[in-house]
Amino acid sequence: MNIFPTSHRRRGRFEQLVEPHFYRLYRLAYRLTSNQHDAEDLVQELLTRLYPKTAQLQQVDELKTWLARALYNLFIDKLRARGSMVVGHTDDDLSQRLEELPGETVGPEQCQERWQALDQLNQALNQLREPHRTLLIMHDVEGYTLTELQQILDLPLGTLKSRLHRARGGLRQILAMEPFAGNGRVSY
Amino acid sequence: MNCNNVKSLLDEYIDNDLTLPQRAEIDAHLASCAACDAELQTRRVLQMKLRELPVAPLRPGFKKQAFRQAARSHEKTSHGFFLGFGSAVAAGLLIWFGLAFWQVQVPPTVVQMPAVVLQVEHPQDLRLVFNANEDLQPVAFSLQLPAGVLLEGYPQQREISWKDRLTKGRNVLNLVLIASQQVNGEVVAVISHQGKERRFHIPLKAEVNRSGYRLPLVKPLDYS
Repeated sequence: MNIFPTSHRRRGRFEQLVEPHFYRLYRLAYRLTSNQHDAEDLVQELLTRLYPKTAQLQQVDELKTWLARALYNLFIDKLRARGSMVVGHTDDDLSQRLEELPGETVGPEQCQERWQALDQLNQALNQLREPHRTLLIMHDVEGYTLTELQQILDLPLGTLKSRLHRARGGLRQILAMEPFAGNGRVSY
Repeated sequence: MNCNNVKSLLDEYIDNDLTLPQRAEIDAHLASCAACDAELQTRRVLQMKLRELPVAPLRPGFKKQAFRQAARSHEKTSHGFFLGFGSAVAAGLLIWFGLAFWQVQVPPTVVQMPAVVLQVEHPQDLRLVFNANEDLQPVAFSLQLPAGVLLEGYPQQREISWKDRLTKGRNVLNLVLIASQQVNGEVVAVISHQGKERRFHIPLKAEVNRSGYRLPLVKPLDYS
């Protein structure tokens, strides 16, 4: 018997705090790990670790940024623990996402082409070295601002800007080098 | 500005991160340079496509399952603590004490407990376990906290009272305490039933964590 059910209230408070950011966390986890299974594992582990710290979460001003930072650090921890984390799409993810592509306005061939272009872009992203890949994912794909990234990545603004500049250049270079790009330039 | 200068600033141009004079110079160049203008459009399309990269949808039920699992994992950890008092104390996370309750009759009895040590600004679980030999109802509970210590969920309250019941066997009082300053005091739990009263005095200290308050899971990055 629990005569003072703080655990029940804690669960309510925890959900109230984290739920508004849940999908965003999942998206970021998916971007970082590049597959649904690892993304879910990452989010699950984050929630499990944060749950006992509900009271601390209540004191955080910018929870969106704070949670993204916590997720990212957990990702890095796991990456280091494994030596490296396999970053890439499983066949299931690929077929699932193919099904999600809009089919009403484009035919299957166009759909396939569009998928290929996006998949090539994804592959190019994954070829970037880790700090550049993460920065592009967070800034250009997920839309975190440089101010938010200062907190998430714990880097000064100047470093972020120069790194973002190099990362974008690196991505363009990879895309231009792709054999399918034609005339030295990738088509989207 | 020549083409190389312009191309090196196109990302900042797209991000709107240039001074007005720089922007004006680039605008002037773009108006007369088809190659740089084409490069700008290509980069804009690339930015747009990055935002369009698909995400596998959340598995149905995953969100609910994730929250449930997070809570369950914590409860599972807490239950394990009943098995190992020594290790729980050694871990410094939980303090457990079980008492044969309500066998001692009047006069009111005072029971002394081992000290609980908190870190300032660091919430800590405290679980009091009362073993009752029989069902007792109603039971009045009162909890008194020293200055500088709060109970999670009850801001500004140093004394909390409520009525409940005790069932035969273990009854768990789950508390999450947060110290806002250095404290050397005690938590007093008072339980009353049919004119009888038991008082539990739990010495409590709160110390400043030398490493300072840190966000959980936050670690420095070492890449350059």
